[in-house]
Amino acid sequence: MKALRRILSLQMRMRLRQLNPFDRTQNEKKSTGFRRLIGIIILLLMLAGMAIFLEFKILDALLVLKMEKLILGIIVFAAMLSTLFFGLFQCLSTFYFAKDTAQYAALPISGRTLYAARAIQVYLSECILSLLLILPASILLMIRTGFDILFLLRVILVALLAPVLPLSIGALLSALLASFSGLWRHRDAITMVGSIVLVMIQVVVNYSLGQVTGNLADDPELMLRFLTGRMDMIDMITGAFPPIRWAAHGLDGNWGELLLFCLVTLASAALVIWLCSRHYIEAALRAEEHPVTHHKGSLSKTAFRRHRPVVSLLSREMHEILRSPTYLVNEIMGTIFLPVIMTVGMGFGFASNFDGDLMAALDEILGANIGIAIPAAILTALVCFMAGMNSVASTSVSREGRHHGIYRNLPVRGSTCLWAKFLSGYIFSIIGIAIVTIVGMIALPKFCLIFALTALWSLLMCLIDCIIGIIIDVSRPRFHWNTEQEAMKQNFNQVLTMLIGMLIIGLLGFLTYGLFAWGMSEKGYIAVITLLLVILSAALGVWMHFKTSQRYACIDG
Amino acid sequence: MIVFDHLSKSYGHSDVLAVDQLDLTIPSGELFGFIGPNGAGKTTTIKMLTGILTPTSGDCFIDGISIRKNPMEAKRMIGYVPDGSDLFDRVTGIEYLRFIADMYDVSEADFRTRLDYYLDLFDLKDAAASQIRSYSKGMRQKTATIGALIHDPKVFILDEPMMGLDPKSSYLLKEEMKRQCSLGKTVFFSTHVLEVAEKLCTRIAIIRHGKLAAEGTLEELRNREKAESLEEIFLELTGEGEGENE
Repeated sequence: MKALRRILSLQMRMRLRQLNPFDRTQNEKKSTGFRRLIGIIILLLMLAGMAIFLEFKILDALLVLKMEKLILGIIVFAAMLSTLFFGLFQCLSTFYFAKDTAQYAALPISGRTLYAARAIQVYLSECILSLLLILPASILLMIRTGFDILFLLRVILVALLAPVLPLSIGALLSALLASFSGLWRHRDAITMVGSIVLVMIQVVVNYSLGQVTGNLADDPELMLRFLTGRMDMIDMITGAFPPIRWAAHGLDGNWGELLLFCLVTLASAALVIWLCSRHYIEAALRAEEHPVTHHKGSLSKTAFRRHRPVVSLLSREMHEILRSPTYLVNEIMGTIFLPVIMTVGMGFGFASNFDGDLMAALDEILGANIGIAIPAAILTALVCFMAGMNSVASTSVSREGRHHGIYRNLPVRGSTCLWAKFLSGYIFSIIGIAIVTIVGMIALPKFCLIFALTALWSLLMCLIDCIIGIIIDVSRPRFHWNTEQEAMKQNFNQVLTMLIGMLIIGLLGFLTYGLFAWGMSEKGYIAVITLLLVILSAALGVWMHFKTSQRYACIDG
Repeated sequence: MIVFDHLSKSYGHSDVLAVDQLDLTIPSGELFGFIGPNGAGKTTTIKMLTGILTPTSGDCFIDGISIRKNPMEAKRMIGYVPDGSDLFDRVTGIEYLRFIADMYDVSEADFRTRLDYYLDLFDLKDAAASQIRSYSKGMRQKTATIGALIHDPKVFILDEPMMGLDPKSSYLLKEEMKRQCSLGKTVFFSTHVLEVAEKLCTRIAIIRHGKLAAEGTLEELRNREKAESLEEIFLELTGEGEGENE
């Protein structure tokens, strides 16, 4: 226990110093700390604001229907599902791809102690999401319906325990994947394919669980049963996974089910730690082992081919992404999977609900005969919202980590390095957009024009996103990281890029409204938006080429 | 005492053995140098000895305790300075050393005494309160060395210890290695600097392609290979133009 406490204390100290905006290097000014603090506060307020706004709206609707308790099931469901979604890669990265495992392995620490310490570390980092989702809605419910202090205690207990079960599932899956890939010689490739398969399973599970709520609106009889009170509402929404029901009933005052939820949750964590920590250090270090091969005279001709510096740098960036399961899966998740699933799912949803007539659906929703520009703009906004998660570009400088000096030492211009980094990220965006366009055109052939316009605007928007990401990452690179997950997914620069991307989408939305209100024709609107995006891309490209590259050449790693 | 018993290691189901049936016995009080060309298997051997890597076959024993069967007990007797000295970045030197001492159950009094001695010795007193990320490579190496010695280990293992050290620190480290040896501890280190091995070691082993090419005192090696310097012996035993990566 003493060793566990000491490891935890060390980990927490390092993490807090990482988050501390005033923990600066010698070269940074004090004002940088203040700017960072303000940025963090704005980000937290925005995220909390979005969650509160959404929950407020849902609660309002449920209060009208006198189904306010349904919010309890919804928030627990959302918290657990989100933790499962984000937690899997956090588990895989923290348990099996941490760079400090060898340091711990040389010390007299048991695998169980190290595993438990890392499990707590993962839990603490994922707990924030659960608190952010559960607390605001519960407090709103308490304000509206007058619950007592015991309710608040139950809320805190559930919010703290909600991430445990999904993380246990994530830890178990990552242990299985690490063990399975350890059996093979090409373990990186197996880990990558395994991670992608797990992502797809997660998406399918999430989608099918999402259908539980979707069915409610679709099925009039079900709704009738709800309204006549013949079916327990919380049971309906949480029926897919009993612990959610126990937690929701527990929040509602059923102490027995709350106790059951707590026991099952804690037992799952104990069981997973007991199972996965056996031979943990060996398994974690195996992920770092690479087979020794003695190739004699078997180098291909391509190995000797000469390339321009930008091509070589791009090739190095791509190799780094493609050979790291954490980088690759995080990247394709945001830039390819989510846009494809969302747009295709949405397209089919509209098509099935409106007998395949997407335009009729949009006309009905927007209340007017709208042409192709508005659907294309909406689709572009959705694609870019997801593609804004392009973490390859927005973390490309931070990912250099301790090897930044190698780049500094290269006799190439900073701009060459940055364009290579830009291309490495933009390639993934192009793949995502191409798949969305092709699948969309095949699934809904009547709307080829909409998808073509979406593709054009998305390409420009993603180009802007990638350049902004690089500009931000150059201005505040994070070279000190321990896991690839920290370098990419937990990098504040990526979130900042996403927020700026969302801001641009929002501004374009306002502009769209203004232009149509002003009476502009559809062709005129398409021309204005396209021109605006082209000018913005060019301006940012020039900025990155001249200004940012100068700054990049002066970064001290 | 360190014993390598038919120690072998292959990485990731590869058919190439990084270490191949290594047999060695190093008694207490010996300063043992482990040399070999790049990719010969030195770091792999040291990682197996310190319990970081699991051998494919064979075992290592520290004072008769198997690193495979009783890793915790065996690790308690080892002080290890890794190659490259990758340390926790966002802790101060003192926090890092206290953490290491805690892992080995070092009492506060012992910690204070040893800390004062080693911080003075390696001239790190002023930097101890700064975060490790602000340290130079040499300072990291010195911090890692203090971390390895803070629990007064029976076996002191160093992987390329002179890398990144200035001449004074290098001299001090060599003196400390000799001192540990005179106290009856076993010192085992790998190096590329043959002069260091020549001047410092009581015994030397040369490894090539994971196999033991030669082992003995410098005198024994000279007589066996009929060469004057360790450099000549090394080149004779390992061949010229070796360049595989470890």
